[in-house]
Amino acid sequence: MSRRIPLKIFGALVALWLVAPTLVVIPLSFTGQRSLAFPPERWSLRWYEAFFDDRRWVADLLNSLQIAALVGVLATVAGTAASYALTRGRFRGRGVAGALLIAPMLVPTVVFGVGVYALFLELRLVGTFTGFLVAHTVLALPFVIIPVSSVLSRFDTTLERAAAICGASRARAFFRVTLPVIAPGLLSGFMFAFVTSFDEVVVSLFISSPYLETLPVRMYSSIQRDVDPTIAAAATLIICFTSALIAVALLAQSRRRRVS
Amino acid sequence: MSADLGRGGSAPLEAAHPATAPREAGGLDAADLKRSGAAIELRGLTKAYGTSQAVRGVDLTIEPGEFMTFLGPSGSGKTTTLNMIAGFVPPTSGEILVDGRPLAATPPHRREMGMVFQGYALFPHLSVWDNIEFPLRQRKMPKARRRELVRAAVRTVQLEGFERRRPAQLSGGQQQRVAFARAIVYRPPVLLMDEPLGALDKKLREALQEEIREIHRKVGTTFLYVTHDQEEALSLSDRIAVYDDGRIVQVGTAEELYERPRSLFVAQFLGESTLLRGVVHPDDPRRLHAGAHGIPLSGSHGVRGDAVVVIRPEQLRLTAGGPAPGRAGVPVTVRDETYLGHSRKLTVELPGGHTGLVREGPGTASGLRVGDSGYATWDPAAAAVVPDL
Ligand SMILES: Nc1ncnc2c1ncn2[C@@H]1O[C@H](COP(=O)(O)OP(=O)(O)OP(=O)(O)O)[C@@H](O)[C@H]1O
Ligand SMILES: [Mg+2]
Repeated sequence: MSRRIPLKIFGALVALWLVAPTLVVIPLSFTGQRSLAFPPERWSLRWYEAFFDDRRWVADLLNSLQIAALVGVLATVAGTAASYALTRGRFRGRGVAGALLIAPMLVPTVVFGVGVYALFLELRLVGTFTGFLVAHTVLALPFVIIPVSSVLSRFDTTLERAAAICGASRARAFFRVTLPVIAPGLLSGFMFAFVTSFDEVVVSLFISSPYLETLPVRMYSSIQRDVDPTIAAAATLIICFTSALIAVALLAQSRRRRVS
Repeated sequence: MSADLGRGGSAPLEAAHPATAPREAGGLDAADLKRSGAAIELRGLTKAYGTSQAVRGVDLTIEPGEFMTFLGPSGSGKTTTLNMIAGFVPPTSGEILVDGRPLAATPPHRREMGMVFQGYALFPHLSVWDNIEFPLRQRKMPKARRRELVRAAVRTVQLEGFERRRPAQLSGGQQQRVAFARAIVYRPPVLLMDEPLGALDKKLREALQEEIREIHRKVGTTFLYVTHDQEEALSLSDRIAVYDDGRIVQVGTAEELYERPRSLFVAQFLGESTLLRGVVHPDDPRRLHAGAHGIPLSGSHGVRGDAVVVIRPEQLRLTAGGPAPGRAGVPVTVRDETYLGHSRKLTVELPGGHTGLVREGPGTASGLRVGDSGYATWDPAAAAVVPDL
């Protein structure tokens, strides 16, 4: 037991080092000053007031949430279908298809952003909700395909045979047996996709317009104009949303484990 | 446990068959039993994976309600045959007929078969109850009916009190019972089982074998059972199809296969025996020439040329003197003996240095001991003659 203590201290230090930059933002958002000086000398909620009083900040937060939620759903559905084809299918070009679907994760985001911008100009998708959905979904797909393919490749296919011989068509077997069994993989895929979209800046900068932008885009442009602790408040909100999401997912997973 | 198995569960189970008359009929009658199993016919069934052939032309007719076992060594094509019948694997050529109707165009979920998988394949996210109810839900049965059928199946496999558990919370034997209940709950006319007891220890296997036999008796479904355990095959089956290298080499009752094997493979795969090698001349089918010895044969075999006489241990008698008239015999020396409670197993040395096996019961004790010489004799009609490889 006692020999574990150094290990625990080391682990705690690593964890602290990983999250410290993020955690610093939280006290900053409660500062009473007009600067991002750390540590704050006075405390107040005025930057949250400033955030929620400014219709543009709130609008961008809502945009981000909507886009991220929809991207999460789209990427999970499309990514699951793609993973199923990639793990089960026997067709020519399966390897190429898999590599292409994972590519958005590997291609430098700036390069991807330029390409998407050029394409979207042509298609008149710049600054549109649809444009954000499409671009973010493509970026999020690998983050669904990787966990879902991994649970699918471990999935025992005799369960599908068992469902079939019990009278379930292929579709019913998929929805009644395969999907519930691989659900944890889908859940983490959804979360990754949501977060990928929710804090995406680079590509979003290319495709946003004065009429439609997301929270990270607004934060990025605001920090270039004036250093205003409102963005610390915005950042803290982002941390809260993503942490809440992860907490819900972890809770769901641990409940699942307890039941089975 | 097996004694009251069927008693509790059989009546409601019987009612589950789609073709069954009104439920009020209650118990089983013989006509119902006959109707509930389907006839299966395999014609020239073949499965090739690339250049290798897993199944090479299987022909077999299975009677309605029969308990048919596929027995054979690993890789001989048993599972492949079963998977073709279930519809999981498309045959390369050949036909499968159920009650005379070809199955080729029917997908697995419309074949109305039950199946118990080797690893059970229970749905891990569903409770015992929901697992067993699954086939009924697929058939869109009303809720009250489903509840009644599941309860009956649970009773049949004696899992009352476990309904709310997940498969992961059950022992291997209990999981096996759930798999069984799920396969029989809608009373399919055909039940396929691929080594359903393969993962269990010997004691549990024997208990469940007893249960399977009992359920087969009660439900009247045609059972198709795969195993590579010869004792299991002998004790459960009406008939056994012995597989070797993708072919069925012999089909018959346990007795037929044991007493009248048609090949050396079958003789050696099922039980122990003494083998005598020699030649049968075309003009003298009643004699095996083995070195200096002429061994009398019953003559009803069709083997010519290189041949082997197969004699089961309990057919051999040891005597101090030569064989009695009408019996065949060879000189032997006793090399080893093992007491098996009420019987004694002796290993003897045959002419040419080969070994033979003799089983002596209380009434057939010879008194010969290790080191003694004498004769091993048998009734030629009780020995099988098969072609040598
Ligand atoms: N999908 C497949 N692709 C290629 N070869 C296969 C495939 N499935 C089975 N085989 C081959 O077909 C042959 C028969 O396999 P099968 O599973 O039917 O044997 P089995 O009699 O059930 O053996 P066991 O007792 O070990 O289960 C084996 O040689 C096996 O390697
Ligand atoms: Mg097998």
